[in-house]
Amino acid sequence: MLQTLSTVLNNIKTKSKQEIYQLSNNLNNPDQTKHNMLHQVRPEVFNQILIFLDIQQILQFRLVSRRANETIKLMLPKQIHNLQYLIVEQQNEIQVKIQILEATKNPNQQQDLQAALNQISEIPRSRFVELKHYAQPPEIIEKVITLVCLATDSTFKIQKDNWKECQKRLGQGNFINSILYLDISILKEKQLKYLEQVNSYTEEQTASKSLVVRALLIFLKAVVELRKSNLYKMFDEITELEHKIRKKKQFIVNLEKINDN
Amino acid sequence: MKFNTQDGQAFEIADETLKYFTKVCKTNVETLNLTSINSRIMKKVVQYCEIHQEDDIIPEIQKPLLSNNLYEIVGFKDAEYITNLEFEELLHIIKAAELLGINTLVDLSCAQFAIKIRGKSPEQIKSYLSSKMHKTDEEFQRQRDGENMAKIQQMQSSD
Repeated sequence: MLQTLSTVLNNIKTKSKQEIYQLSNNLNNPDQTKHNMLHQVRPEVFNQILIFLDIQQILQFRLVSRRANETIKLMLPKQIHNLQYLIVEQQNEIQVKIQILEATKNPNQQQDLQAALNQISEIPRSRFVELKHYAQPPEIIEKVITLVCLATDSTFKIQKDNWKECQKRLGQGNFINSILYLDISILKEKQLKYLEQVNSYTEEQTASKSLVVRALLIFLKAVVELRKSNLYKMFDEITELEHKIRKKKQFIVNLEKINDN
Repeated sequence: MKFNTQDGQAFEIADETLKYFTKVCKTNVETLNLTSINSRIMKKVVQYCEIHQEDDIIPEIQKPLLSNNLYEIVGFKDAEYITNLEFEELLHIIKAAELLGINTLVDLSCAQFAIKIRGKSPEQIKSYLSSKMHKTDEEFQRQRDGENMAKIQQMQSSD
């Protein structure tokens, strides 16, 4: 009898205050213990249920109760392993895509863009500054300059009346350089959607208004065409995969923190 | 093979249905007492096996689930069988199916359970699984009576 009592006492000593409170609460409210399904189900069963959910939902279930939290903790190493496996798979996918890119790289694709850039570089800066002096430019000029500003700066806002902002940019010393050294791989989808509007204008329409704007229109058309080619589509896919990998790695770090707590 | 449930009902299972009872189908036992399964749950389990009596293979359910609509995930008859069951029944079916080794039923019930808790907040899940949701008015009244009696006894003892 004494031995049994000492075993019970030892068991209680090893439990936290919260667990002791839970035990006493269960003893005082036997009905509640009996009816609460969370107490009836073995962790293995919950494990079988939770594998049908994705990791975000599994983590939400962690907050249901202490017991649920313990169950989830048991699952975390497996989930981390699965994520690591997915990362390896995506890294392999990136390698395959890079190899395809190398094999299918076509220098001719860049020729139109290079020609447009050469044309722009030959235009004297004063011709660009001239455009700035339009108080109310023809619609086509305003449109093309607005799109050039958007291409060179993703934060540029397309508004109803942003000619004043365009004028500011036209006056900036680095305006031409920002066109000549534009990295088209970083153009976002949203920017591209706006830039596609250039296809509704013809070179002839702009030629009658301004030769500078004509050159800029040719440049924008070349950018859109190149950016929509398979080469850049694959480039986008690689960027997206890299982004996913980064997110997964961060998620693994968070899961490990939960696991260690 | 004969199964006696917790509440004393006997179930005679034919060989075509018994093939899904992977933990018992290869034994030579003629009668099995299922002390943790009642007849209501056993009926549902048998119903599942009868639905699939003529199937050679029951396809595995994809994990994690890609839809909240079970009809898009499993066959129509499986979805019809499981969709309207409550949490408590599902848990009992999972336990029974585990005990008898009906793995596809374990998966189906777990998937339905997962769909039911999918996208719900921890508070909502807690309330689904807590006792209050499953108590009848009579049980609530009995609880209130008990509490009143305890109060009266306490007052009497303090007097």
